[in-house]
Amino acid sequence: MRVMIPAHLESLALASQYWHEFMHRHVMSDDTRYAVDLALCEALSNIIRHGKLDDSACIEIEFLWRDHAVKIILRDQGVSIPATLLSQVQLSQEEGDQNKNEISCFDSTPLADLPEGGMGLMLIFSLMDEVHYQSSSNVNELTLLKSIN
Amino acid sequence: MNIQIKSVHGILVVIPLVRRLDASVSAKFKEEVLAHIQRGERDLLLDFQRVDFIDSSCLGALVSLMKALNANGELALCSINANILGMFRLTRMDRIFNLYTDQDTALQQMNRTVS
Repeated sequence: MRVMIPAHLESLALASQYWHEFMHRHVMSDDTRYAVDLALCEALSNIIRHGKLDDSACIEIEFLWRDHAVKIILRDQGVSIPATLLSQVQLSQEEGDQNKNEISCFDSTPLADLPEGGMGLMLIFSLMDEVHYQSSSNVNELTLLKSIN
Repeated sequence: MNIQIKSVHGILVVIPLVRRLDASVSAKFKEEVLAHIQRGERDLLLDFQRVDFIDSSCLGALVSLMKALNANGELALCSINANILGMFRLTRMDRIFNLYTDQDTALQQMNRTVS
């Protein structure tokens, strides 16, 4: 299933509706359904807020079912995610793999230092089994993969 | 944004009447609750009985509200569904906020603290 949504925050609910429409054709746990819904929301929010897209721009979402896994590919023509940021999050995830059920941004942090943003990418990497990103020919492509047990 | 607000024994109970608290509404939600803190409310209970989805922007808004209270009160949450609770645990925010199963339990516990 392939859809286009306007690159506005108001489209987040619409993307979620498309996800629900797609996942209804498949059997999966409520945890998995929510994890994918949340990762999709975070990924789209990042593109919309940081991609500097035109008001008329759209984001393409492709939903695929492959070998007991859900694969979602997001394509946009905005500013790419900085490679350094991606590698930092990936490294942080690999270091935290011993305890993949938690992310550590709130560990022993004084109230004043608690983060109010910047959690989106960490959540995406924590919630999905695989995350791939590539940017070429003016198109960014983010692939989210979640196995269905 | 559609929010129901009532005061119960000095505790401000805030019930967002939306299913999703995502980046399209979280800033507005934060502004509305923040206005009450700035007017002097110190004990707040956010009742998520109608909410079935939140994202990281909502978590950020909650942290911001907690900072605005600056430890001079309590910001608690109740009626959180299992998926949202899972997100609180994943981000370890369950260690920062008092989470209660329902509004009655929350009000009982918070009243003990207030009085």
